[in-house]
Amino acid sequence: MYGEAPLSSQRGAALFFLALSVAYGVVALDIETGMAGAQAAWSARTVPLILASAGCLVSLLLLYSGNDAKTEWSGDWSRALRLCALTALYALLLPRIGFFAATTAFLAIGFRTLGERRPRVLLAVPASVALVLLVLLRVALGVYLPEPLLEMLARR
Amino acid sequence: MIEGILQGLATALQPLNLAMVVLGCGAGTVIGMIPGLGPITAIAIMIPITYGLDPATGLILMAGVYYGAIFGGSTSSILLNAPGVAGTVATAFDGHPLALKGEAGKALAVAAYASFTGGTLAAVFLLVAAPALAAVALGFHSPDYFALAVLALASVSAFAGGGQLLKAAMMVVVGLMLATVGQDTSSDVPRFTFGSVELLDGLSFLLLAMATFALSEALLAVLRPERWGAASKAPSGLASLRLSRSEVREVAAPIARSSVLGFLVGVLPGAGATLASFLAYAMERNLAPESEQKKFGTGSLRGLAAPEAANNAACSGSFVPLLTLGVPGSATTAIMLGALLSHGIQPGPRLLVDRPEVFWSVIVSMYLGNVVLLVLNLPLIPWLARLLQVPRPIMLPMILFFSVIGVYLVSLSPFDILLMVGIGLAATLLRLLDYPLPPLLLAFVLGPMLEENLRRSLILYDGSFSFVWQRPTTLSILLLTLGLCAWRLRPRC
Repeated sequence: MYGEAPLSSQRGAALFFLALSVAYGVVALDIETGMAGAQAAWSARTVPLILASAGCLVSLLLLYSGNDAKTEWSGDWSRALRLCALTALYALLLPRIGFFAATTAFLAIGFRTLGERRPRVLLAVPASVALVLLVLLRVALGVYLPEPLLEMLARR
Repeated sequence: MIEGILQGLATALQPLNLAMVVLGCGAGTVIGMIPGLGPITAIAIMIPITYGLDPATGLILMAGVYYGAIFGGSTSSILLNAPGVAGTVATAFDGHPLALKGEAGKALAVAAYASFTGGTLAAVFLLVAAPALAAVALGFHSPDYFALAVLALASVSAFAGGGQLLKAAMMVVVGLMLATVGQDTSSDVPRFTFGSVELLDGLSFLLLAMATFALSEALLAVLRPERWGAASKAPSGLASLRLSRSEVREVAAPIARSSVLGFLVGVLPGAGATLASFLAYAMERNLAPESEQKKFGTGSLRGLAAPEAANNAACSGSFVPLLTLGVPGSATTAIMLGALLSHGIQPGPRLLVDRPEVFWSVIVSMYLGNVVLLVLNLPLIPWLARLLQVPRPIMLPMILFFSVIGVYLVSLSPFDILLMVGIGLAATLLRLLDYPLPPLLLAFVLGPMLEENLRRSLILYDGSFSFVWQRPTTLSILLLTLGLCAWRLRPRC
């Protein structure tokens, strides 16, 4: 083993799929079989068990197919992950602060994260997009959008 | 058939539906022009809008978006050498050199005329082929549909790019696994929900489509800025859009031949527009005189017209198995199937009998879509091309926002957005590892059909798999599947 190349990304992915298929199969064994029982011609676990077996077979073939092509992992991961975190935060804030405020903040921070510096663009574009969509969706199309902040302000 | 066409025309020519064709073509062109975003993303973004519309109107909108996105993809191929979709890669071979020579307008015009002719001829073929195949398919039973779903999944893997066969097969398995999440439709037993109420209805198709295509595309554009960098290379002027008489004569025959080839390839499950465009390009290069062959790759009008006609014809062809058998042959038609199902319409041989207005209006709207693209979009190209100059820091968060809000508007559940972020990240990693994602999406859509028909077949045959050899249709389809796999796995000298 000494001197062999470390586990390549491709083989790592194949191993991941093997583990996923095994885990999927184990969970599939816990699926209720209903009145008919596990020996019936068909139960809710039939297809999952077939898929788990197929997954194990294909991932083993992938593992032994000798594909060691190098994967280019470099890139601005920090920015990409910040965008993901921002999207998750948007999901959590949307029902709490409403569509207009959450969308304006999401777009402004998104623009800033990707390098936009002009204050006019950072403020005007997100607010205009959010407002136009709010009017279009809520007023023109009658689509429900949570707006707790705006509704509270309107009540006052 | 004439009655059906007239019914389709009457539906498609209603003012609202006509407006939807125009809107769809426009929106599709704009989205398709953005490098990396193709018809799949364009249609996925439109799905939430169609929920408020009549099914026929919604489908007409999506058909317009489909054609518009393909046309938009050709535009970015020609102007930027950055194909919006794989189906327009071959367009860039001769389209971009023409643009660099200062003939971008001519290249765009040839692409538009070739697309129009390819799409129109294919729509005529579709008019003839679809009802005939639907009549045959009325005799299909559960085992045959099970075999058809297996054929579609095997085909999409078999036609995956070099070295991707096993990866495509893995994606098919993962897609089928994802399709099993939620309550089992026949027994109501929850599967892989881990006690979560949100997962009881299963994963949303729209969520998966947005996460695997729109979100992962935005993340890849952040990781690989060069994917977007091509925008700065766009030619500043388009020059004339006019073609001379000799140029029209030069491209006429290649367009006709490639349209027929494209349609036939498009009908095959899994083959699609990409294979059609490459085959058409290769065919025309081989058929061209030796002096013309040398021009291929340096700005040949034939080399541009052939793949453009073929990819548009293949798009129409791919609707044949979808509309007549209910089996999508590509990721794009899988998206269309998901949209149809969400409108309560089950495509298949019964569609022509039960919902003829939907069937015919979709076919007629394809033709109208081609007319709209030629009459309205081509003159607008110089203005639309300015969209490519929108800076990346503005465009990417907007794409992200539209994909997220599209998913949220359907379920109003923040959980779906969180799930989308997780799946989007996983999809990005898979794309970096060169795993093709269309097979995953196709398998996810076909999963319930595959399971339901296998269940019915097993129950009908007392738990035995004897239906595989007892039914000639099932056996033929499965042998075709095996033949396809064997052909793909054959040793190459």
